Amino acid sequence: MNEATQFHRAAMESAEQAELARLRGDARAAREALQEAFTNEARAAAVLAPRFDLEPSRSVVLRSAASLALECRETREAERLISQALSGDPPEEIAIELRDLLEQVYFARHLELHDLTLQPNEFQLSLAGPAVGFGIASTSDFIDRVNHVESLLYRTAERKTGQPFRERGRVKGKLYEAFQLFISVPRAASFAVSIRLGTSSQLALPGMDSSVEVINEIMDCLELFNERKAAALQRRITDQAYYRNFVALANKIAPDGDEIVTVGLTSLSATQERRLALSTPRKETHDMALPSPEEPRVQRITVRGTLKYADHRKEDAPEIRLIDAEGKSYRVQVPAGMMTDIVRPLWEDEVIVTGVSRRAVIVLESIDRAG
Amino acid sequence: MTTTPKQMHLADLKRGTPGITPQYGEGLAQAASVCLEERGHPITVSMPSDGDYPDQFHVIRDATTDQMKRCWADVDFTTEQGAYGVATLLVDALTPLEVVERARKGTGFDYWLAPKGSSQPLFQGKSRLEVSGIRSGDETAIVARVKRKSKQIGPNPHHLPGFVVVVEFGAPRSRVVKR
Repeated sequence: MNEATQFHRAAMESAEQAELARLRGDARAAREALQEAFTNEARAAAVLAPRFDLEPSRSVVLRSAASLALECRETREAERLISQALSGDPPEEIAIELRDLLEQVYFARHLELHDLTLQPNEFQLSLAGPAVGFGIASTSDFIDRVNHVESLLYRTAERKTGQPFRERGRVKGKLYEAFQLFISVPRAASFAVSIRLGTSSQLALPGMDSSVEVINEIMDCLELFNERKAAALQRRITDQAYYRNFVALANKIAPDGDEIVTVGLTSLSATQERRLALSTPRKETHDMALPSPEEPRVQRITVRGTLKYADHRKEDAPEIRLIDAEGKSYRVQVPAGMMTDIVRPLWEDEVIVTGVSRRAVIVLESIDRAG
Repeated sequence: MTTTPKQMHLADLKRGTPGITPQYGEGLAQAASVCLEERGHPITVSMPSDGDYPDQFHVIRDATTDQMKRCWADVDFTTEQGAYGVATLLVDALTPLEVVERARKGTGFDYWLAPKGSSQPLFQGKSRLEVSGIRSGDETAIVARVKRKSKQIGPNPHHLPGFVVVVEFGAPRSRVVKR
């Protein structure tokens, strides 16, 4: 049993080295140390696997090895280790964590591309959660997200080509022609489709290398969003309207935590697969919003009603109105970056609006279709 | 009902534990002695322990020298090390456990505990110990520290019991909480 202890210690030592390498930005050293950690923890797990009497050590080490396997993208090995752990008699709370880890393993399999060859101008979008069966998903969960991904792609392309934020109207003809979106037949994974950002070689845009740049930018920004690094994201998207628009769209794409628990994106970056699993539920990402100038004294309110009226006459502060079940009307001011992509798709729907109350007006922070 | 205070000889740390060498134990005893002396306490001082393990102690410290005081001049570090020393003796006196290993960085706690004399491998029978020292503070400071450390030690991947020990050298007093 000393052998297992020694392997486990060596594994923890390497895991610590991996973390230090990650902190200093040495991805290769981090990967190597992580692989070393996994090798040693798998050895410790192999010693403990037949020792059903040694709980909780057996399940703790097997789970730790599985977790490292997942980080090293050895999903089959992770699945095997978790199954071994569950075949024993782990304490209930560890069993729950093992099942959660197994879900992550299955989702990681969906992020894998299997027989599909992704092109650099493509990415895979996959959904998992109670609303998703094998190859089938609720239309609203899927279609809304695809629409928001489309908005995100065009907004990113507009931002990267230095255009001011477009508050109204359609995507400009040249950009629309230069970037066209194609979607594959859904695959029975969790529920996955490939989205291709087609570019015309004759219609290259100044200031933009290719659609690959747009996809990489989206992946980088979504990663910051997922890790809730608001300051870093604001440094990357300096224009407030673009920032507000990005956060609102990312929120719409992110899992709701109930029906959809993970949204995955897989792309190719410099011939390497890049995987991103958005797992932070929408309700936990409010800290990504731009702070209100009057924070923290502001009064934040939530109202529910039908979106009925839009007034675009005030260019800098367009308004919408909600009519609640009693016929009461609420004026809602829509800040820059929110009207076209976030508010307009909800026209005439029953919605829930959260915002800052300012005299007779609510300044919009978030708007969602009422469940 | 009053209980007879237990004797806590800081010099006992020099015997070490499975996870503390006699040499390091001696250092911990020195740090705790410097903390108590600096707060103006005599060689023997009363120290109540409350929380989940209420008890009374007479702490007997070492006499300090100028060299010791210069060696332990960093207030924060010395308070932390002194608290480790007192916590080690509190765990020994109040529970059937002893310090068996220093925990790695990033685990959220300071030491691994195990039943006295046990040689069980890995996580068998293990508990976690988080220690915090306060050179001089009131009840509010102790409550806040216990709360913070309890939160820190709360969620753990091993689902093993945890102990939080806060040692305040001003009164002195201590609190031992099991999580």
